[in-house]
Amino acid sequence: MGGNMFLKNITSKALVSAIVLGQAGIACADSIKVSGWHQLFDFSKPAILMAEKKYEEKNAGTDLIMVDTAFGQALQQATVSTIAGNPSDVIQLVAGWVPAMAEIGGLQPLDNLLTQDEINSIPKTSRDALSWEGNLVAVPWNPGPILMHYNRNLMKEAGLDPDNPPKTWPELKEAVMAICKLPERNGGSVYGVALRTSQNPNSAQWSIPIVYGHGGDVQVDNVPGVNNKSVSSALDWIADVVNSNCSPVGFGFAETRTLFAQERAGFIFEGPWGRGLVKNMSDGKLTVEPDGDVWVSQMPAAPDGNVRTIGNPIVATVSSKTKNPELAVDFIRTVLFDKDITDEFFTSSGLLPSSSMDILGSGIVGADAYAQLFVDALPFTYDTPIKSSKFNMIMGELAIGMQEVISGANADEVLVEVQAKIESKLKR
Amino acid sequence: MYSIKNNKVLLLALCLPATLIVAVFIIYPIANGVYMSFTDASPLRPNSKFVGLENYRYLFKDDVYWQVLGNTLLIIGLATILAMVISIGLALLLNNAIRFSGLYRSLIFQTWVVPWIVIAILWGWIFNTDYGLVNGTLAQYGLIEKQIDWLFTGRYAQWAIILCFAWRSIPFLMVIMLAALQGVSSEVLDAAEVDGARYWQKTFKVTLPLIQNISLAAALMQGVRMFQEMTLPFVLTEGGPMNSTMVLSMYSYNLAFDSWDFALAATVGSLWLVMLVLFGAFYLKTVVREM
Repeated sequence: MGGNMFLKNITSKALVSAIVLGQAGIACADSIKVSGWHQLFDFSKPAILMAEKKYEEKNAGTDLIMVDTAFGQALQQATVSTIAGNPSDVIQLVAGWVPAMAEIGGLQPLDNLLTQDEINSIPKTSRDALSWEGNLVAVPWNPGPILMHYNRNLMKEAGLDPDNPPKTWPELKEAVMAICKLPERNGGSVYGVALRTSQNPNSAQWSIPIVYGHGGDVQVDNVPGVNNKSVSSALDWIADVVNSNCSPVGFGFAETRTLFAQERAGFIFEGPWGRGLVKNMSDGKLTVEPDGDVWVSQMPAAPDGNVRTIGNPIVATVSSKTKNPELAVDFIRTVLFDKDITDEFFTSSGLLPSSSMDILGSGIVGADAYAQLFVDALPFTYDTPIKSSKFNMIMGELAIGMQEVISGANADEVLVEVQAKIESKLKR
Repeated sequence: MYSIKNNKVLLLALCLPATLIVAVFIIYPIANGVYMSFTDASPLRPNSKFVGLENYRYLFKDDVYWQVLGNTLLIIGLATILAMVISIGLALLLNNAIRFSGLYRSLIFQTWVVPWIVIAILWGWIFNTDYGLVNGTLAQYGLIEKQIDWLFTGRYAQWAIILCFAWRSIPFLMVIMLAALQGVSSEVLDAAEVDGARYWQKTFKVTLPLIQNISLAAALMQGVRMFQEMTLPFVLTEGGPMNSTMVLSMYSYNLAFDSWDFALAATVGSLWLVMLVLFGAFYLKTVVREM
């Protein structure tokens, strides 16, 4: 008897639960998962919360689930979850990872999901960089051209004109050499420039603007090619500067940023996040203004007068496995093209909040001189300087080559070996 | 008398969960890894195919693999020896009931509790060129004129990693050594004393030989554990300069996630597995004594 009552009780409770859950299911018929790291940071969280609210209001019944993914794990998580068949619907990446994700078939073409007007509002160089086999597979959420930040105080102290930063690479070298003659400060040497020369692939990626500045490229006819005169000259340029003690040896991104924020480096190459970094890392001591402590200018020009740089934008993509591509892309549409959200993003983070030139050229972004220098650079910014799924491997090999040249090896000979290693690994 | 051996069903039922866990989480991944080393597996390919010994041939011809293998053996070998010597010394000190030995034991063991990433950052500061403890101390005593780039000069970087690995291993080894020392019978030591042995004679002729097997087994375990560790080189030197601190764990990680070459990464792992199994068998057979 007792057992029967118990079973009856359980059955009726299970039935009620099923009905309640079923209704909840009807109320939230769809869910869209967005994985990324923006929601993890105080400076970008307010905009994400606003986007979440607006998105759910616009798409009643759709539950937006934010999946926290640390930057360091984002690529592995995206690839592994894609291979396992359970990725998020919207995936936050950086541009350099897009070829790998596209090659494993993880990205949904966006050409037919976004309107033509929306696509056309994104600069062509960005669209070209983020297209794979003719399809646009990612859009820059926060464009990130790398420009030359410089410390105006150190330039003045070294007898240079801070209102006329170097315009060519030889001029930059002269300025670097002059600044690194300054006496010690904050407990250490003053360097002319804070170059990245660690073994991290990112250090080699950051040397690509120097290759552009020596008139060449790191790919020939869309094939990775580092064994050429301009790469060799760029490595020699870096080795000269480092071996003159005018740039630290073996530093990565974190150490170079610390050095610059301590006013111990005259120049550093950074994206639009540079302003926030300098302010935060110097505890607000350094101002980033045209006539302040630190300012920014376009990268020096190549001998032919052309200026080119790389970009390291945060991009938004839609997974090829999503069951609701329309709903997924609507999240991207919301964060990229909603003025309230982009304004909130720009106010709280200082990052370029969208790749839409309409947004970037007007309102508070349009009125910000620092942001506009980066916007001006977008037409000559290459977000995927080598469009290869093995970009990190290529950069890793080049980084080792760069360290060998700094240690005294002949750049031309080193690059023959580096190219051979790259080709051998690309064939696999 | 009832024996569980007679109840085959119950015996099987009791063994099944553990067997399943070992099979799913240990045997299958190892077998799958070894299988992958004979394929061209990569996430960039929809289907992988069997390639025989191709990956092994590729790896044996690759200079970097041999350099990385050499680095790994050097770093882990020296770190383990260094850690063993210091741990035995500390254990002997603490075993002699010095004042506050319990406090010292707890303090030393704290190092074991700290996450690897924190240790890597801490040692990054110790060897920092401008503000580091090492350069600061050496400069203070006039031993160096110019600051040394410890983490960016090949040999120095290797030593930095060796010291750091050793430092991290000391607490674990010390606790095992201490337990072993406390297990040494006082009667044996008393007998040695009656025979006229002094402290050092007792230590080297009686105590250490008695704990030899435990020490060697602990060293083996710690060495194998360090083979798997990549946080330190990853954070401190990123394997550089010029691969001088690249170890097998980090190398296979880079092959898998920078080159997307899961097959080659699995080949490195399989060779590493075979090497450790053979070394372990040889070590246990020849170095660890029959008691």
